[in-house]
Amino acid sequence: MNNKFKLINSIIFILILSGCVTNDVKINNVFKKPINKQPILARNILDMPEDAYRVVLTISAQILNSDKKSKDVMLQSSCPIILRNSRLFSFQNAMLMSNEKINTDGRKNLEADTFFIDPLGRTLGYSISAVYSEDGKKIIVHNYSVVEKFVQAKNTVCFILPADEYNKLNQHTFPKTFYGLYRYAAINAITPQQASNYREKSKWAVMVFFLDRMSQSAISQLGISDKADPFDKGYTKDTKFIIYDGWRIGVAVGEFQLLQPGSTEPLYAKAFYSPGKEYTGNIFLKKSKMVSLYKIN
Amino acid sequence: MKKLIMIIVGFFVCMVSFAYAGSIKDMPSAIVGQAIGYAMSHESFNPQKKINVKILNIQDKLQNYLIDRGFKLKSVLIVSHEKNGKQFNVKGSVIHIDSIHRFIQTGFDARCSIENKTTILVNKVQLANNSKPNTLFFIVPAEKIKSSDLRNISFSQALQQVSSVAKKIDGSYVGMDYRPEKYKLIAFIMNKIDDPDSVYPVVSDAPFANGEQGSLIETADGWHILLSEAEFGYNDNNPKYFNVLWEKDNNVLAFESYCTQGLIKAIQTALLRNGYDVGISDGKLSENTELAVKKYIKNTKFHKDTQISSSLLWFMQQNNQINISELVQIALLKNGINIGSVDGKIGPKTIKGLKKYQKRLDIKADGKITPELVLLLLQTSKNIDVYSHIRTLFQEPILIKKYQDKMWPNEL
Repeated sequence: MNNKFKLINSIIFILILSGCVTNDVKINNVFKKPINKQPILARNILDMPEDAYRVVLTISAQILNSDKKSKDVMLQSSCPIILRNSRLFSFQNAMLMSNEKINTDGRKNLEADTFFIDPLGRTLGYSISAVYSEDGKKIIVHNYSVVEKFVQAKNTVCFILPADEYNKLNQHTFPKTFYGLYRYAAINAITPQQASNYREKSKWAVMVFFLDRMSQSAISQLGISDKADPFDKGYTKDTKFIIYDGWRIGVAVGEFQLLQPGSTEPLYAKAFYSPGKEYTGNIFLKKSKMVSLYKIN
Repeated sequence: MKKLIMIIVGFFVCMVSFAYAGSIKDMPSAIVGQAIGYAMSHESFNPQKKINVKILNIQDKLQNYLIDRGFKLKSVLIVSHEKNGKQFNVKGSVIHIDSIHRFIQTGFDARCSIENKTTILVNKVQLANNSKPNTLFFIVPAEKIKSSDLRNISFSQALQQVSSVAKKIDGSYVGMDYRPEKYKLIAFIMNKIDDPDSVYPVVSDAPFANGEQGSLIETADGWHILLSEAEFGYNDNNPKYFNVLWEKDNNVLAFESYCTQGLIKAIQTALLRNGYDVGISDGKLSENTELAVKKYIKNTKFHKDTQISSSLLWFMQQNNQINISELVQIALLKNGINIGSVDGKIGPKTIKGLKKYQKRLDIKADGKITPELVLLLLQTSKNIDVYSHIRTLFQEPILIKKYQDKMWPNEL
């Protein structure tokens, strides 16, 4: 028994040791996972110190492939990531996580998150890590890395359209982009005001567009329920998700009566989200959370 | 005995962790991207680190993808990557650029595996060309260019021809009669796009709006030019907008919008920043503005015949310390034309060099230093990236309809 105990202890020790060694090796920044829990020094780019502000804005411009670069900030390497469809997106905000001197020759380290938004309200973010120094008015960024930062999904848009319109889409006509499907849904959707005109039960497609980019391992769900309770997911089995480059659209097709004045049989469409592998915080807090609730009847 | 086995197993796990971490360290996705990019443009690839990237079975496919050998790899963009043990997928794009700054952006999706610590195998690559149109805009008097002419020449010849006649009327120039005239609005699509037929120009009374549709011209070498005709007078109260629309997956997106009146306003702003008195900055070519333009042209040592144009605006938007004479001399040297020493004085040697350069480009060899000529010099000089500055003309895209009334309210 005692020997077994020692054996288990040795194994645990060795495994812990091997884990520590792996963590100590500086892996290429391309594969570095974003860190969820970090203190925030500035929640708005305008609150950042001047030098950090200029560095973050310049690197953000690089990510956007924009020409709006500060002439006084010199980047000594090209940006490892340039946002796909960068012309669609514009800078939204940035947050500063750390900004401190790292040695006596004046070099500073900077950790920040920067966020972008497109005309539909789609968002995505990147974590920036940079080492820079100031030379008079000029700032020289010696090296920097950029990795995608996934935020808690919270923004959704819901369209309801006749199921026939949605079912018309086939492999040839199904839009190839988020924009395409968004537009198709919006064109064919009915407004909430029109809903009361439909007094009979009929087939509808409820489409919920998640506007925040999610990691592959994140979980999104769309449920139809007669309760507004955020812990009740309702019926989620027949809903399906379409994913365009990380942006997801949940579709639930069913037969029901739409929003009626004074309805005593409420029906809700609910969108749920839980973060993926990128989440390194408290495992007990990594649970599915309701991010939107649409009263459809 | 069991203890010994477990220690050996633990040690093995430890070593595997070492080896695995070491190979990841030497496996940046960017190197795979670079290898793909160089393979496409027939350039040799010498990574800084001693890593061997083998691209299996697809070398021919990659080399056939970029037919034009004038394009060189400009940058590699890594969009995403996934790894699963020694296998990893890299998605990104490579940008190739040629001497007149046309570019080709190609998306790639590569499945790779780590052979050993110094070798990466690229087992499969899928390529896709999915760039948005990027255009360079000119306004030309209608009679100066025939659209049929543009079809029969190469893209670079068309660019030179159009820019040489556009300079006289691009924007409006000093002493011009502002009565409405017929113009051709021409935009060169500077990048390769998936489906050129999905791009079309319109002339409208509003920016980013739909309007009277123009045409798409394919040049002799397979590149594309957008062309519209319109009748308008500069600086009158009815500006026209040349909007580049792109039909993409049932969307109509307006990516670029050029105004026929905005130039004067921009010129006034730039002159004000350079300390010139332009009177009221109202977008109209007032006497004060004309005078300020003349002063600027004289002070920067452009030729006295220089007219208001977007090229002139570009120089105005640089800092006011710009020394055109010196810039021209350096640019001539960088173009391989010997003009003696760089002294900032335009003497016979420099003018001779300018004429030689103009002859080389097959344009009128008059030796006059105009903004258009200096821009051409800069564009053809090595190591000078001019277009990145010129592209400030681009606007953010606007989705024409947003359908907000159809959204259902979120009760949360």
